[in-house]
Amino acid sequence: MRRVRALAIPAAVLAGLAPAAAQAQTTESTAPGPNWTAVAVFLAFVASTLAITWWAARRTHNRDSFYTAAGGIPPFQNGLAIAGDFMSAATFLGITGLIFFTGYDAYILSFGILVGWPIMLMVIAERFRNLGRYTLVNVVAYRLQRRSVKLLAAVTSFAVILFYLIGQMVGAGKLVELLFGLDYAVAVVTVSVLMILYVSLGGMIATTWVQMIKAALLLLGGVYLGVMVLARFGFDFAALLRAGIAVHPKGMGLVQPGGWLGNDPVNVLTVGLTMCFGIMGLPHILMRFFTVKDAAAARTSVSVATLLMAAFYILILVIGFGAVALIWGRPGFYDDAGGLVGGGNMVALHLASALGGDIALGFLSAVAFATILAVVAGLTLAGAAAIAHDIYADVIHNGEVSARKELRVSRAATLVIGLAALLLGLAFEHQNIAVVTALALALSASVNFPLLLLAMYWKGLTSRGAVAGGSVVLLVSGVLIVLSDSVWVQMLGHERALFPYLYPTVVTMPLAFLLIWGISLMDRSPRAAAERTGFAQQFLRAETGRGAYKAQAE
Amino acid sequence: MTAKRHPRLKAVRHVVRRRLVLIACLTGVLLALLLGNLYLMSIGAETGARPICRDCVITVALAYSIGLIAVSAGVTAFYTWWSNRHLTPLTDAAGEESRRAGDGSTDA
Repeated sequence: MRRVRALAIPAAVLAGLAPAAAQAQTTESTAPGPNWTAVAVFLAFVASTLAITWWAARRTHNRDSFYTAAGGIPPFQNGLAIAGDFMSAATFLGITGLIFFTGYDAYILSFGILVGWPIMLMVIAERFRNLGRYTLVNVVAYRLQRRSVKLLAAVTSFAVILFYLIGQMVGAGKLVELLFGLDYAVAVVTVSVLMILYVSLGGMIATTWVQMIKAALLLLGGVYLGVMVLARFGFDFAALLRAGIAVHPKGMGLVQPGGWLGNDPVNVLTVGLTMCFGIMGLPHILMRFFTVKDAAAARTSVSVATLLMAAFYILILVIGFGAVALIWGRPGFYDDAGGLVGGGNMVALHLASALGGDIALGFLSAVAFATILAVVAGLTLAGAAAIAHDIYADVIHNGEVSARKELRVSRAATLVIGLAALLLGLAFEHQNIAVVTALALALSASVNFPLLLLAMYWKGLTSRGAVAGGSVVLLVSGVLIVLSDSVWVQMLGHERALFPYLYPTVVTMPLAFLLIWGISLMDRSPRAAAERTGFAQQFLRAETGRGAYKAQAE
Repeated sequence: MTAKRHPRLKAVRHVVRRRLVLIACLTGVLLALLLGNLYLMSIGAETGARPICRDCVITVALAYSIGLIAVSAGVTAFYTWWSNRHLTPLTDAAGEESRRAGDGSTDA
């Protein structure tokens, strides 16, 4: 049972839902009193981001500026914002906590993702920027003619966003409860209100600035912790590991494979595939490629983001093992029942407290909350685009909606998503949120990524292949997740999972390619012939940018 | 190849080919290295668990993962440098050529 529970951790961790992980590893969290440094830093963050939102609102007057800042974000800033958009509290708090408890295996969540970024840079970023305008659906449906393709891509995009958002909201509520001593509901309401304000008023400009500030703060916090930990061990990484091995019950197992995934090749493969390819279908990340002026700027953005994240993921290793060496077994960090105070997600913050006292703890606590705010803002904006642009304008009205009306619908959609996130955050408070996060990543890797890749690179893709193959995989992904440990055992109470792996990606991603390819090959309709012919023009535009959407920003 | 049947694509053929070869090589290397790390965490866990030297505590798997992150960052930097130096001027020229030829594309 312990192994089964441990397997449920990563999905929670990835979405910043560490409290779920914490409950698996420690006793119930105990809310400490408010840390006034944290409150001050957090209020400064909120005040500055709201001021930026007010400034951005005066520049957000049309559809282009709302969705993509009219392509006017400089590449370096966009790279920083991409890093801020992607590095959720999971990276900082969750992976650190997982390394603390399970050791080396948790690092698959870092290197799996890091390998995915340069592949996304080379294979997707530039062509995606050249082919689309606002959303992933623009690119997938570029030469495909059926509305059902747009509907499928929009629905999977929205599902990924919503599942991800639920995870972030519950994570935010739990974290704020722990960090600031606030009630869970108050925390969820605060996050919802702020994200509605950021997105509905400031659109992509405000969201970008929130993400940039957050990324800078997170990197600053990470560098501080990493340097302070290494300084304690004379900047000798091996000495740091020795100190950790000496106190951790796993001993040398702390730095050896098997502490979490148990050396199971299929589980290791499915986690690796999900991490590597899941990022390539995340709508809120892909949308950021449209915020720069051209494909070369998109390339530079991804490059900057990847380099920043690579540095941060190396620091995470130092912070995780540093926490073991400096916190493990120290009485001040454990409650009477022997559990880590606040739960497994508090590892990095306890380390901050051990290294820099209340000021460091306060600063990093506020950074953790800012991190969640920035991610939910990006998700909300992408969700609003999926509803207003993809579903309302493209699918329902076949693209015949004025930009002004679409902008109004986008703002209304932001409000609806914010309220939905609030209600779902409250509803999921006591649920196993690992399920929704697993769904988000699995759908991204299994439906969005294959559709996107084949749409951009394979001439033979047809609407029928995309819709039939994508729909079947969507269904299979849902069924396999229900049959997995997260639902079948932990929610439905069965003894053994019928699908014994963490994510369905190892089955569903190859299945998606196979089905979409096979059904497209069998499609002999006149429409399919027209769609294949359209590949030539798409190919030219994807490679040269000829005809690509031009940035409107000055 | 689509480009063979569409004269307007001739201008970008050699650009595309160069890029595709480079991307295929670099992506192949990264995926092979990723599979190597997954191997060290599963079937090859015995190898992955070994220290990289006598009296070391850094294991093969840990060193490999850090190296993998470094290689990913290196590939990112190299591809960006290569594209900015070699690809962008060529695609700009090819795009200009196809526009002069009047391919009919319009801005989105």
